[in-house]
Amino acid sequence: MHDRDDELTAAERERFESLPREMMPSRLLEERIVSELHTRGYLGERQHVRRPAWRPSWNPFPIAAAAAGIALFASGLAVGQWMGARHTAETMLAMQRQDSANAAAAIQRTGSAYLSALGTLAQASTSSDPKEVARARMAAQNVLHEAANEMVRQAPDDPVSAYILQGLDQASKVKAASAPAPDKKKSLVWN
Amino acid sequence: MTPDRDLVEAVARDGDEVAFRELYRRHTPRLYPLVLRMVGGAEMDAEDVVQEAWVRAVSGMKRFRGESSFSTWLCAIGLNAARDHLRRRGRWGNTEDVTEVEIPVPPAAHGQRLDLERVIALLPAGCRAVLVLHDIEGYTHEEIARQLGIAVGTSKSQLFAARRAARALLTGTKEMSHARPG
Repeated sequence: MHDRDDELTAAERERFESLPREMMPSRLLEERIVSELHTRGYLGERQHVRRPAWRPSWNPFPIAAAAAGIALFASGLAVGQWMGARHTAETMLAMQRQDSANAAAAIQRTGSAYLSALGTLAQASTSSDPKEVARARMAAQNVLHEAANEMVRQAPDDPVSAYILQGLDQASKVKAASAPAPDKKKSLVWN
Repeated sequence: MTPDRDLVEAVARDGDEVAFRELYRRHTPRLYPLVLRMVGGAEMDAEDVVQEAWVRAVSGMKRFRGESSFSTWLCAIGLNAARDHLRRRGRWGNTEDVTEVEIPVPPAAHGQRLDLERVIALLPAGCRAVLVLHDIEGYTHEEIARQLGIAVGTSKSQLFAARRAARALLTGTKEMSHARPG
């Protein structure tokens, strides 16, 4: 075998040893995997991040409702932007490697991802099928909830995100109370 | 600190998200660079493989008996997922093939010294896998052979070719930049 005369030199060994053994991927990956495991039914009930301990002295619900309306629209755009950003990063990487073919393909995928996200959002909101609209609304709420959760993680003192979470929780409690026969299993697919 | 075994049990038995997140944060920093190097430094691909590895791990957690550490078990799953990923992309060739091929050295790299991570990424997938597992992760040839499903002799040959090519790339010489495909 070759290994007899092919040992690493001390300098080479040192070079290999200097390479990092631990690295954390982007924060979004954890959320993506948790979401995937929920979708596949491997994880149980969703856990919510701890809310800030303080509570405002006035009723925050109207503000939360208004903020939720704006954030609902913004979260739709954010989904597109996130999808686009993922491809944009790919584009930058490809360009950095001077791989023009990959870069062109990545640019095309970026554009398609934006169009696809916006198109789906627009179609769902104008659909005459109430089930489809409800599904889209549920998906948008889910996105909003995840976004607000993430905001609270990033900035626990940010009142807007806390209001949104509070508003969504209250809304889901009201909905659950008024629903005649709530489904035990709730499955959302976020591709 | 809660032992891995208890967290694994909580995820397998109750689908406990908190336990899963704890396992994820504890073991992903070790899994990610291994997978990243296996797939040739493509971060998007590495994230997809890490996701696939965790999905496989969680779906098979009931089979985890604690004979090895959870980290070792997870990394083995990650390696399989990375190999499957490279196969799907047609980048995992016949590892037993001994025909020599030239490593596609980017034009900008000729005559230049390259960073070690970049050099590893440039190696053919089979050679790269053996180099990463042996010289970075510290696996023996027997462990590599078992993990990658190749002969021990093939692992040694691949390592020889990988080191030779890596040295050539690191010193910027062109004439030695050959390795066996994999």
